[in-house]
Amino acid sequence: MNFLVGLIFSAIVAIVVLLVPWIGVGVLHLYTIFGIVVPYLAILIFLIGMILRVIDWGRSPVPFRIPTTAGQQWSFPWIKHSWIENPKDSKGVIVRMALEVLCFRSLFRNVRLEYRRIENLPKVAFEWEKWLWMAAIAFHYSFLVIFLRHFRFFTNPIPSFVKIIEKLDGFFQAGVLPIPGLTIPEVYITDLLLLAAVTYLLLRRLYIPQVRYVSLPSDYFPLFLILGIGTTGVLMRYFLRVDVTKVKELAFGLFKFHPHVPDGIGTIFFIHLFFVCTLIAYIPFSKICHMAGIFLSPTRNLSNNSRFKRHINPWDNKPAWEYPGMVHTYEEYEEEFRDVMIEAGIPVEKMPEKKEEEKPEQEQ
Amino acid sequence: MRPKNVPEPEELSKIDHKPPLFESWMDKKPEFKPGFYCYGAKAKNIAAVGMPNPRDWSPTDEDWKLPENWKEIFLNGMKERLEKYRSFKLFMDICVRCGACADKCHYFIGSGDPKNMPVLRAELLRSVYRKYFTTGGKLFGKLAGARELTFDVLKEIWYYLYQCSECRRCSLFCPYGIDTAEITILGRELTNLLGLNTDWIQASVANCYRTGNHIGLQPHAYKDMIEFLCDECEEVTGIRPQPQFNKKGAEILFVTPSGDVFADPGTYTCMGYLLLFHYLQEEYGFDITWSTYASEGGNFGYFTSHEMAKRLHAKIYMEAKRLGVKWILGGECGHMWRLLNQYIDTFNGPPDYLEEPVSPITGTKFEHAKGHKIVHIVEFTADLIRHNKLKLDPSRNDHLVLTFHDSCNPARGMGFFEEPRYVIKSVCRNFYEMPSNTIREQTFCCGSGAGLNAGENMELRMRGGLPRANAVKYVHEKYGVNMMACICAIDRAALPVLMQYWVPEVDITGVHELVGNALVFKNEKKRTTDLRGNPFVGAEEEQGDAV
Amino acid sequence: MSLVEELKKKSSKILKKWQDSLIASYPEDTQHFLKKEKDKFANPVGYIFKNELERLYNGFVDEDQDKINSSLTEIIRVRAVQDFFPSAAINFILELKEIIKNETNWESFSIEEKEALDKKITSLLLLAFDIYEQCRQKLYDLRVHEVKKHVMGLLKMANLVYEIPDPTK
Repeated sequence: MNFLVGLIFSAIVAIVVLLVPWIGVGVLHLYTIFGIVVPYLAILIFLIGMILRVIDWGRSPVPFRIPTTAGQQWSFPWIKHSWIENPKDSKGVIVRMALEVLCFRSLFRNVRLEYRRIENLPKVAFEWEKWLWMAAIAFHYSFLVIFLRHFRFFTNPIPSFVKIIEKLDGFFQAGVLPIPGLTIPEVYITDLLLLAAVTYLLLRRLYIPQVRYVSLPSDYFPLFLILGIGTTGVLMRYFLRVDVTKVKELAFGLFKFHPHVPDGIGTIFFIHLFFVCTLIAYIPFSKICHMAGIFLSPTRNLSNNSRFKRHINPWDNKPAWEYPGMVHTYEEYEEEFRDVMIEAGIPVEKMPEKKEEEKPEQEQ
Repeated sequence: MRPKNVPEPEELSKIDHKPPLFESWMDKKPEFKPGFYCYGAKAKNIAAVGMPNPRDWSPTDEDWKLPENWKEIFLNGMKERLEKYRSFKLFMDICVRCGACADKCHYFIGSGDPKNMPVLRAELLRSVYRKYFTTGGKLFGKLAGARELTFDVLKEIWYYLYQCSECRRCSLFCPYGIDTAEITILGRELTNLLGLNTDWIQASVANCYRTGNHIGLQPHAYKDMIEFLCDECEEVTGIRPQPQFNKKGAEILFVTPSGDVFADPGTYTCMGYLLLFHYLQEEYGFDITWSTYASEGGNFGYFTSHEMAKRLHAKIYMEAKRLGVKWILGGECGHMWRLLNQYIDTFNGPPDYLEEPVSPITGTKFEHAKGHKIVHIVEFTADLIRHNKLKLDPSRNDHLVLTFHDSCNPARGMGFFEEPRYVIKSVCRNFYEMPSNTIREQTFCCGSGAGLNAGENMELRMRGGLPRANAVKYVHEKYGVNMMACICAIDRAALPVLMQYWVPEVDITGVHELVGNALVFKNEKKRTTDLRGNPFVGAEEEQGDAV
Repeated sequence: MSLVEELKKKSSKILKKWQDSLIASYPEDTQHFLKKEKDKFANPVGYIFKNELERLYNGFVDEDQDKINSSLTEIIRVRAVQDFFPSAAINFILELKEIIKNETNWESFSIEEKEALDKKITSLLLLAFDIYEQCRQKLYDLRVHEVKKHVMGLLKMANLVYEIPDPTK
């Protein structure tokens, strides 16, 4: 796939995703479809799709124990065992997986501070590529925080953890100058981080030739969707305000299975919602399903214990010699080489019977 | 008529690469360049182990003599493997093409060929997967990164599958643990359904199957070869080891890659084993046997298919059972140890006819090996040294300035880092590590692993080994390193060649060669040279004085 | 200003162009990596090119034959095992001429100076050809050597086993 076609194709699809609710709600006033049917449908597709996907993965067994070992194996008591990087039991695996999922441990290996002397001044430098880990962390955590913050729309009373998150997230607002004439609510740092990180991830894909070379439309599309979600969200919160109580009413209705769409919610909200729904429904069919896949990855979620605990292959649990014709047995081997073995003084199982013609030779 | 292999006139002038703005990797046809691929497997070697489509063929042939329904065979094989290996299925689905692996492959680093980026190497196969096994790929084709399996696509997949040494360096950096080695192994299985192995691998497979070792040594020749090495030991040390062969009732079975037995410098490592066993026999009544039947620890089947690997390595357990030994000692070998660690018990276990390994000399229980009942000789020696069971004179290695190359498989398929370093530091006094991003779990491949150690693909090997050689060159220039130790037979075969091209001042040794140098026997003759016949530091002057 | 003086004065600019043109002989997707990855162990090719080309240029300007030999060898040793036709592998020498023409006040130099430079580049090219040939030769030697080594052990053994006559028989 060449990158321009890929980029344009996914951009067009993303624009369609933008236009559909705009026209659907803004012009055709299809509130029920975009406020009720689409969200339910998206969640349904997501749940069923994801379950099917995980079942599909799970159906394929793990025949061999193949963890990538990134540290010293467990051996003698006097050799320090690297119990996280090369886990011998589930405790190590849990910590390793936690580091992988929460800190992107493997990706972090790419990060390397470089001390260089530039015009005789020592300088600490990051390579452009090495920002990948930081962007990934910023992106995923911002996403998580924003997701959690949205709980205020589905819950009553709002749980305290949501409030705490909001407080922390808005902590830096003092530093942001309000634009005169506009009443700006608290600025959430994660809103900015998310948009910055997604923009970085997109630019990186376009800027680094190796990455551009391997990119597919399915790499750009989710980024466009998330960019769309972020932008509409930010617009709604800071500029094109929508009636939050009504949005909450809609969300509550959806959650209690008594859905109804209150009047007076701006079109922008439906665009935002449609972006979210598209993303959710798209997940099971896309690479974003890595969020479930990582937990199943056999190079990470297995302990390196196959030297002391047998790993069983469910579709082949018999040694090779129990299948006919699979191995060249010792008997066949001796049969072929018996004479030379005897001559060389290598013990054999079966001494050959003395043949008639051999006798005169021996008498000589 | 222009001769073949001469550039077109426009290629001679400024090399102008079309920017790939309008070009996709999918549109590029594979071009087989001499030096970057190995010869095709010969009919007799394919037939010898009953694998499909035996015929003589060459990768540069127009016609690969494939069965008519080759596409069906390939795709059915893929389907079967998707259902049997979660790794395969998952790795086909979850790559996000973040590019973290791109610059981790030694073949990419050394060649600059973008299709050597692990992500793209896998995409070659993934694109076919999408076309035939995903809805998106079926519907949207190229837009979903899917493409038809054509003969050109097959050729491309083949070309790059046999340019991967299954070293797993990329899998270390992948946020989802996608392991290109796993994809290469399964991809190669698919090519083998069509009879598309390289002869270097296939001939070794056929030999291992019939004679037990990859060069095809018959039992008496194998024994003679080792006897010959005993003679060499005697010449240097005045001690002649007395190895036992196929001895029933021996306590331990020893299995090592057969490369150690016939190819320099592996032979010196083998002399190290022989001397060590003899020392232990004399001092402690150690009872170990070699086997001519299970005379190959390395497993060329692993470069072919899981099934072939299982079939070949079965001999180790079968022989241990037949001889009635208590447990198995394994020699210094790379992929052999990945297999012994991660596969053999699953393949051919449980070996409940063996006992849990205990060192007869120190009494140490090798608890971590109690399942598969195989101990690495470096662990075994490390334990002996730790318990002061060996009399060692490290000054005998003073003429060497050492560094250590972590072989890919023991590094990333086992985690075997400290034991070899402990042994080396006990028998040598000059040891320097290479830079940290080139050793241990981040080690660079020798460039010749996974069956790529043939002669015809020398250019591929040299450029693939450049990152390793470059780090060696650094320690050579900085610390005067003149010898690199390793614990892998393919390393011992491949690295000397690599060094001769890039850093001719550095040679290669196995760890047990160093042990053999340092080991002090009670009744040895006055030793003036190491096992290779190179004089010890100070030995020359002494000799001069004596005269 | 003489040509040599100008070559010295504009060395960093010319060198930069020269390095870029060498890197430009690789696929575009790879150039970024070769240029940007600064760790000498993670990117040996880029590192060798950058440093050795600098040494080569300085050696060229200062007419330091040892420097020229050693740096040219380092560069060509890499090129000789990569995907290049022989001509393409050493073409970067000729590009130096173009770069110098473009980057200096080419018209202002005397014919003698220009001819001298031409000669120098030609001899550099011939040297590059020799080195390339040596590297390729080395590769073939290694091939042969490896085959020999594989069978040497067997030959040695064969001699021992079959060549010693037993006087008692």
